[in-house]
Amino acid sequence: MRVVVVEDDRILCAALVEALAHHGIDVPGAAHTADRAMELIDRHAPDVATIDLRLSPHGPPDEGLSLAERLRVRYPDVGLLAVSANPDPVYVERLLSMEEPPRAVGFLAKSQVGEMAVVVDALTRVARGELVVDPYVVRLLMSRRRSDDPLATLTPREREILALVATGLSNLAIAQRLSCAISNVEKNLSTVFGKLGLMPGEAGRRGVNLRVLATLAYLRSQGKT
Amino acid sequence: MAAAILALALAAWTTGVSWGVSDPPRTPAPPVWLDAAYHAFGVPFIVGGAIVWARTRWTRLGLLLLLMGASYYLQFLRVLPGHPLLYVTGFCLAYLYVGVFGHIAMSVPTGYLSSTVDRVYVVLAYAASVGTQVGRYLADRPANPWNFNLPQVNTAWGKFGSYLVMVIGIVGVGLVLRRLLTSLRARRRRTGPVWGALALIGVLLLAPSLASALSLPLASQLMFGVLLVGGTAIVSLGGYLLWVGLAWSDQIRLTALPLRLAGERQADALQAALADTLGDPTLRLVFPGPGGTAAETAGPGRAMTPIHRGDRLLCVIDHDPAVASGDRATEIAVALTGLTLENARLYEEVRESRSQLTAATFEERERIARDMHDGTQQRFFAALLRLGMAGERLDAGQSPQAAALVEQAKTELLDGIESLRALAQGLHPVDLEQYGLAQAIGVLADRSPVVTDVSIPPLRWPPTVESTAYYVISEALANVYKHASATRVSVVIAATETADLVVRVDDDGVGGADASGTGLRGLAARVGAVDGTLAIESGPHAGTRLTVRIPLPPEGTSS
Repeated sequence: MRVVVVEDDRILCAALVEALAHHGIDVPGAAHTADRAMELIDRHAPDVATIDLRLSPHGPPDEGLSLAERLRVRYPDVGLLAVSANPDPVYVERLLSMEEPPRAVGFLAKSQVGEMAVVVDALTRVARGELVVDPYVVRLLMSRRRSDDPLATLTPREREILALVATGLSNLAIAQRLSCAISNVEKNLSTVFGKLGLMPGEAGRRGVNLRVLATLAYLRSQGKT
Repeated sequence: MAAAILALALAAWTTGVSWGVSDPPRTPAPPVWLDAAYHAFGVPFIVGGAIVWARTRWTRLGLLLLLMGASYYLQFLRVLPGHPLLYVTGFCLAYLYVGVFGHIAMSVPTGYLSSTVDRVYVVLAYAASVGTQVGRYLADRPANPWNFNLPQVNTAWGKFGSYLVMVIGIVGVGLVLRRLLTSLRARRRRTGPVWGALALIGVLLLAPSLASALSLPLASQLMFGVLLVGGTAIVSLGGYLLWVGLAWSDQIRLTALPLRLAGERQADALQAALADTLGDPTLRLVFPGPGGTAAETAGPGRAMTPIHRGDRLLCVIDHDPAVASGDRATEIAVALTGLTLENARLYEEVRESRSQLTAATFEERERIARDMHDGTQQRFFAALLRLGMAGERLDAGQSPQAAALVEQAKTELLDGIESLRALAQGLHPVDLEQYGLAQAIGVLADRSPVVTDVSIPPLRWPPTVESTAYYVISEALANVYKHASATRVSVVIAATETADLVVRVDDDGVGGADASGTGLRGLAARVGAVDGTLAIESGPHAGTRLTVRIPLPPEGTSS
């Protein structure tokens, strides 16, 4: 797997490149600016680019997002993994809005660099065309306290399962993680979709990504109040 | 002093001379008091004129009064039959003082004639008062001694002269009355009593002419003469008292000015209060231009009074000359205006520097937050990454303690990164600048441990307004979490893009928030720095409502 790293902080960038190489990932180049990133990706045609959302101290805080949007248009085959020190749902929302339905994009909190296994896993899934959302962000969405929050109607168990769905896990993976039967997961999920007014049938047919999409889209629409 | 002595000497001399010459045989002899009154009539004018000339700004008026008093005595030259030249002079100029009186009446208080009508009138008054006598002399060739108490033959010329002087007198009284009724209040209050007195004396002056024209018996004519002399004295005294009273009431009216000016910062209101107090609706405040200078030369018929504080020109008052610059009431009003203006200027300076300070603080905060985010935080992430790599390479089975230590260090580092992030966010929220209040507060609410309802219109405001509102809300929410034991809190911003921003944070907690506590005082100071206001309603067990109003900066100012 070939990955281009886009990160303006040179020390962090170097450490990241080193760590990825240690995990057997081919890193043909690293860029500190958006323009340089374009060049590198054009030259090396990587499978995935990891992009820091904030690319310069004085630029807009979402310069990396704009870069991602441009990359998606010019190189649709390159997977995009956004990394942000400010893992706010706002950014996730924009990232997922680039394409309908979204594919081959991921969002990780920068604090995940302490767990390179998680980073490598996210890169791998994005390279496969999957959708990856940092559990931290999902947890933020799940734990928020609003009086109009639709999640308020969910039981703690249903909440837990929905959160796992939103990070992109399959029913089987969820069942394994929760040490329960897959039928139990499916039963809970249909209740959740029912309570939230989503259509599980369609989501089920079109795979895991659509379930994530549906969940996030739903949360998104509620977050705009 | 010298002028007063000179005037008294002149008065004594003229009176003495007139007394000396007024000794022809007469029947019946007039009573002494009548004689004395006739001879003394000019004295008050000479003395008063000298005082006005020496002690007031109206030197020209003083000279006219002196002239009137002195010329009154010319008529006594007629008493001397043996000196033909003196007799002719006395006869022809006997009523010159009436002409001078007309001149005074038209030119009070400056002594200068200001309109063509006035000038024409004064020329006519002189021509009539002297001309009729010259005509009569030429026509009748009177040669007999002439004094107020000697009966005379009333010829046709005499009657004509009397009638003409009456007409001139009536016109003069009319002109003065018109002036009294149509002039500025400021002018009326100061010169009004004088005009009134002049009009009354004018009427009294008509009486002897009327008596003479109607050929009334000498006794009746004398009676009118007495009326003139006594009436003039009484009217002058009354006019003077009225004048003093009005000046006094002006000063009393002045005591209301500080109340009207208190805290006044609008130039318009200041101008209105001053115009009203000084009785000059034409009064204008002229403020210096960018160079600190203003025109200080008055237009025609106007006067200028500059107001200085130190060597700095605050303002120039453009007013009617009737509002005398040297007047005590005017001086006090001008001093008060100066104080008010300086107060307003200082207020403006404080406001400006405070607003600059706010902007500087805002920028400084932004810079610190950026440094924290882009320098420190990235270093921490790099360290975290290396710790993670170290952990991967440790064989947990062989050195479980080291592996546990690395995991602990990672957790602590993550906590550090999170608190640094929260700190930077508090200093200068990135979301706020990018997405506005609604979004940034939404993010805050997402992390809230209490049910939080947010209702904020998706609008954008100037950066200082947004950052102040954000700060207020985040502080208020932090207070709710810490102190209120609330189960829910609502954040509402009621605003349009053009009106003041009103932030309301309500909770259902224990209430009893102390507005004088350091937290709320700091909040109030932050709000005050942008001219906003903060109100707290917090009864015991009734929740707390915080209302903050943040005004939008005026168009065109940097924020």
